[in-house]
Amino acid sequence: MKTSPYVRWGMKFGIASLLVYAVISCGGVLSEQYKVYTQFTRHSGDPISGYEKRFTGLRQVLPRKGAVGFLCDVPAPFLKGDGGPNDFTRAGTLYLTQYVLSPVVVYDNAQYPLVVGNFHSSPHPSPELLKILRLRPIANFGNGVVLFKREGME
Amino acid sequence: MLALGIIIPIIIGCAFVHAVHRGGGLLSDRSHVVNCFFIGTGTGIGITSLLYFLWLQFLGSPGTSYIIAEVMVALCLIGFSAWTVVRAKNSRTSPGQKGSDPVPRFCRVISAGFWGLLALSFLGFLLASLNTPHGDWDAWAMWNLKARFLFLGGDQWRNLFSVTSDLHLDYPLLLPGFIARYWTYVGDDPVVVPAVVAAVFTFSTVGLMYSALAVLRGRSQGFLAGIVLMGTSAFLRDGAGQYADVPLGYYILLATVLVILHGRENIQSFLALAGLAAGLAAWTKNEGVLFLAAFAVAHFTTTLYTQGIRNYFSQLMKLSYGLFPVLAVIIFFKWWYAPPSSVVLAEGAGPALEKVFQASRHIIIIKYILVEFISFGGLLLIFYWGLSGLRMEKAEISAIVFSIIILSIMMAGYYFIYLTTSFPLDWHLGTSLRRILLQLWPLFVFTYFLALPSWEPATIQETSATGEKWGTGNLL
Repeated sequence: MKTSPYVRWGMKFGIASLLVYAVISCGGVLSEQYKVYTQFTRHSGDPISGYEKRFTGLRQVLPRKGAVGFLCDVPAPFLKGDGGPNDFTRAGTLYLTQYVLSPVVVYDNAQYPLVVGNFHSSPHPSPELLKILRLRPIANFGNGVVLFKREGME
Repeated sequence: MLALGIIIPIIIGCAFVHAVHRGGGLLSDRSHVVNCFFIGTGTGIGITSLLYFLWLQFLGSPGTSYIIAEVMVALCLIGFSAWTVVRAKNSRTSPGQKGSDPVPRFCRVISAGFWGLLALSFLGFLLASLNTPHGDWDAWAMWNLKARFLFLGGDQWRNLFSVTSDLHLDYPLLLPGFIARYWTYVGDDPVVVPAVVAAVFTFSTVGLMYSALAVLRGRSQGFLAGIVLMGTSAFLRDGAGQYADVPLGYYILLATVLVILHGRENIQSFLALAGLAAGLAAWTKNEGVLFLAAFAVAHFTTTLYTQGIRNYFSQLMKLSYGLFPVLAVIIFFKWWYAPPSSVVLAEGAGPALEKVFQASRHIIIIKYILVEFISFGGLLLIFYWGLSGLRMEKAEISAIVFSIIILSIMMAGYYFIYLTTSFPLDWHLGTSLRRILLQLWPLFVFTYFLALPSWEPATIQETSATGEKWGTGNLL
């Protein structure tokens, strides 16, 4: 390739700039992830694995397939809202529960013979609400995870 | 089994690429071998994902018999590939080794920078994967969730299509299918599997970019492109976040590279592989269908212009050998399982047309695109182009035009979707534009370094047996 020495030097400078930018950019990702790792992950694991652990007991008693209803109070605390048109933090809690309970299908209502309760604010829903929804707790797995049976449905 | 789960598809892919090529000069030097490996990696993942889905659909939940069948396929392909190598050696005289030119010192600096950055990227990726082993939102809410249904659902895997439609049930199954297939090998559903798949796609994109440019424009140009790609923090973050946009970017790059390599080396099998890669892009995400359309238009335009209608139809036939089998599976999936997509013209044509004429929407979209382009390091690329003397390689013009047509059509398609979206525009752009641009970024960087002057000659020119130079109009 015949190029003038000025262009060659210019290219050398450009390549050095690309390399420096890439190292800074890549190093930024590394330092940011290292910070997250040392401050959170190393001590308490990642939030989704923690969320999944809450459901370990429930997964063992639920049938491996089929569908269940879903009842929850407030979104999972680590799900951040994105200001979107839908209530993504509320929906996110449903999606996350669907993810950890797959392949059981989780529907966002209490009209199913088995209903999964997922409570972050307090471990037990109010007795009035349960009466209205005709739900009876059949197993409490702690950490706000409760399995209900809907009365009058098999 | 964890290692075997990823090694087998890579072997299948590489042996398939080699077998389709029937032992030609694909392994003639190191750059070609590396290129063959990175072409084969994604090809193998795509093929096994399709096989897994078809097995699930027609033969029921895959188990040990599936693994045995896959290993048999791998062995057959290796056998056929080895036979073609022996046959090619017997029937061809060696072009002879050229004395290799001494590598300029500055090229060594670029090479060292590339390998250092690769190590840094890998560490960053590893830590990000440890922090989010289930991936980011899209990964667990879509791809890994679907993979769990396919793997754990047994004969009732179709229950997947009963979950809430917010989770994009119309998206195709390359990633879920491959992850579920990998879990079948492991016998469990550990979170390390989707992370390994994400790592393979992320670093294969870097590898493919490097090796394709090393073959076409010289190793230093390949290293530089790899450096720019790894220096894009969004690429590394979203790769580790297990977003499907990175695999889609890989297949977009692969299909384009294969068509360009076909033009340069006149290897007909590359066209069939390009068709397969384009099909696999559409099997990865819905946006891949837009890529298929862009790919078809770019191929039609450039081939018709440079080689005439007869060659166009001959090439189209070869492309379709690879494309049609994948397309058939996609059509089957869309017909039987996928609910209608809700992104394009969700409000109907009338309100969409009104939005097209709102200048403020255009301004917002352009502003967001510019901000993302700058955050990807775009200004630095313009700066480097300026330092290179604003020159472009005229010998690559057809290949560059081919890539630019694809990029332009895809950008126009995305622009139109944002312009007419029924969602609040700021929110839609803010939550998706970065990932959408990331699909096109590898091809953009590849095209950029294809166009810019290089430090050293390309492998193809060095190893060409005939010493023929490819003219401007004869690349595709």
